[in-house]
Amino acid sequence: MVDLKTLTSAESGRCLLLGNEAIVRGALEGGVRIATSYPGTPSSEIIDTLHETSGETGIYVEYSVNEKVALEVAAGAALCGWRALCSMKHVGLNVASDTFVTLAYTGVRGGLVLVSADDPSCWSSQNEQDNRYYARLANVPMFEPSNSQEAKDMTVSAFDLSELLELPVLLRSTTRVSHTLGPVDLGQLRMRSSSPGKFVKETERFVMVPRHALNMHDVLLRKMDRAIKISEESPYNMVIEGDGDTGVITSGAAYNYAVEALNKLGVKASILKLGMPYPPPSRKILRFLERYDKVFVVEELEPILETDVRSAGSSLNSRLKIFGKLTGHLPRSREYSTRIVYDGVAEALKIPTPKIIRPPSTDQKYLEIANSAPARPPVLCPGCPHRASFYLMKTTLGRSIVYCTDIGCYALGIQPPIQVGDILICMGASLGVACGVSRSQGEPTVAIVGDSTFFHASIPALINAVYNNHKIIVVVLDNSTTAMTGFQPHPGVPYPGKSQVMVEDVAKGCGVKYVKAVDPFEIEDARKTLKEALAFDGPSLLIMRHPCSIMERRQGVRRRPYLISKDRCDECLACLKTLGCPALHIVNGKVGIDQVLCTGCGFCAQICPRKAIEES
Amino acid sequence: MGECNILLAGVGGQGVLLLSEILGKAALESGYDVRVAEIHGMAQRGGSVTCTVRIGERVYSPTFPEGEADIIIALEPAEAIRNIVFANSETLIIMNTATVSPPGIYLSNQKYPDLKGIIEILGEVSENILAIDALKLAQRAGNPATQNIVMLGLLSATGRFPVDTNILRKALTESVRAEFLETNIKAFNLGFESYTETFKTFPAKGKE
Repeated sequence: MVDLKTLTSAESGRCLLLGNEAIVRGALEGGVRIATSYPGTPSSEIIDTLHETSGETGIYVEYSVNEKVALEVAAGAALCGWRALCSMKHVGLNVASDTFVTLAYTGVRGGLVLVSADDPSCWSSQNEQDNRYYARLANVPMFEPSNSQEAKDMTVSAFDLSELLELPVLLRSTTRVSHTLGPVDLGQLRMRSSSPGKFVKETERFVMVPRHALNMHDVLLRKMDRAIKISEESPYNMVIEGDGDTGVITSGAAYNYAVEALNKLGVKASILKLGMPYPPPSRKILRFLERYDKVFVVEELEPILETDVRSAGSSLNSRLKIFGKLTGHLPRSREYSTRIVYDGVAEALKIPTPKIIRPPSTDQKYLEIANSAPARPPVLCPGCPHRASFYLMKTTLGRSIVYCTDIGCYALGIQPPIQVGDILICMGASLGVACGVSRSQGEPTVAIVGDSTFFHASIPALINAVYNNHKIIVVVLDNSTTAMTGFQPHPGVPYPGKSQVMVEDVAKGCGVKYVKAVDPFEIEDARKTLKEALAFDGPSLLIMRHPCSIMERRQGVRRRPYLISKDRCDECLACLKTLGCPALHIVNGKVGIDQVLCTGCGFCAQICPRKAIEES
Repeated sequence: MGECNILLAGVGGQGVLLLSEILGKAALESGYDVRVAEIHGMAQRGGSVTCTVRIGERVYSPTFPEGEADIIIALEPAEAIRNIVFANSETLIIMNTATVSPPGIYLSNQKYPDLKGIIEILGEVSENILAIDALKLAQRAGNPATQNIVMLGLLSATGRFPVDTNILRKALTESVRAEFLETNIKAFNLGFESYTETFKTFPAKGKE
């Protein structure tokens, strides 16, 4: 991570920044006044960095309750003339999409940049959807950086364009841009303004009743006509001249792989790099197509550019051949690499002698050796309170009941030996899905949800369960933080300057009649409460509350680690086989406890049949 | 100005990201174009972590194809094996011999491979292997969490990473918190000094 002083410094210079940090710098250079977000990988560093530096920059930075609200808060401020940044992971824009699409009709007054960090290859997501479609759906301009320098520059340009057109602008990044460090030449910071915003009423523009909305749709189309001209002339849509009869059209991270693959193949093709791919600069694309017999389109995920290019090229002679996903030369899923582009181009252009290194290590034999390395799936941390909660659910509610689970660390509950989690779709879906499962099977169904996820997207489904009398047992795994994305605060956690909202108060307010909170390390109490919640006639909500063990460590909490008494332990391995805590291991054939990893939670001591585990 | 592709592999918590950032910063300071690819997310939860560092006059992709690593730094032996496909016959492999058993291994039918076997397999691909007990040296430096920096010192001593040792030291100094600086510098020095001894045990051929 970059030194935060460098990032907020007015001095120019060159430094190494993550794509996400570069977006932060771009926002500072672009004079952002407000930043909002719900954290989500690979976008989180944007809001975290802005949050950490907010004291110095004076920017209002907000962790909003979900992405939709985050966008609405940013939009409200932008309607009052402030420049606003709203960042989220790709699936977050699904949540915010209702607001996003109609916000394009009203437009904004201050610049509003929405950053969507997509995740091809699902490094840390439930899908790999291509959010470039959202620029089309809402009909707003989009920038697509390929590296940190562009991420910084385009953020500044996106603010300027947004303000010029009075439209929100989408900045679409991907994991390999957001999470890659690259050099950035810093630019001038904007003069900080402290003036309050001012909303000027304009009912026909901002109140989207049908008659106004139809007019504003036409206004939007006219704005986008201007955007097409800007896209045609944009320096971000540039041709990098080569020679020969082949051209390449590309954008985003795929540009990097295209350049390197062409170099390795010895193909000196010209490249049309689209840094502002929406609205597409059709005339520029057409002029490029006219020069070549063969054009290769290189883009990750969906064939969006390729469709644009084919459409632009349809008026040309039939000599032109366009290659890409639709010809089967490049894949439509997973992130790209130099090798994937290399193989696709080599096949399409029938280049016989691949120059890429293919050493003995890529033989099948070594692939098998690599795959034979012992698996290291991510697991719940030592001392994780969710482990205790899962153990209690499994041993009290049984294995056959359906566990609808949700997005967060507790998705790791599916790993052996815990294996709790039968359905997982998206943020907050556990409750709604559990309602349907319960109704269909005619049996009580468990909905597992984290504390931050509860506030994010569970509350309407909770009300639904009460209103429609669904027998679901909602288990809120409350570790008092948003752990998976880096320990961001949320409404359930006390935080300076914020007002705490308790899960139990929300649940009672939603009409849930059985609401209790227990500590999962208090086994008997928790077990008794789980049984009650299961037996309760109607939806019940049980909060299993204990702070995240990593967060506790960071806050300086230290407990004595536990030890296994050699006399009493009969090596039944119940601790290992039921809990799978990373602090439990086998040394010289005997079970032991790693004294560095053990957090002293003592849960294994509570379940040991021989009472052979004790505090050191 | 040549290109250099480095793959760093380890287990969540071993400091792979920090090590890659130090290499990146030092390379930028030396006038190289740099890309460092990090994958966050599950890294904190004990999973495998890999990072790639690419430097050269002009680099684009943050990652590189199998077989194209000039240097592999493995903070854990099984992680070296997992990434063997990135090596070629010229690759310098610097491996920490201190093992970290996956927590679930006792429940599976997998076995942690033995160290000698690991070195033999790596040796089939490249003879340029430096294996070092970085945990032991890190403990000697006063902080077992500095295994990554022991590896950095050793890398610097090999001369295969085209950045001056003093620039690496400066990048290290700028990247760790003041309270941990002393043990980190010690770890760097112990790693650096171990080169002569390690070199004797695992004769590395190639460009030295």
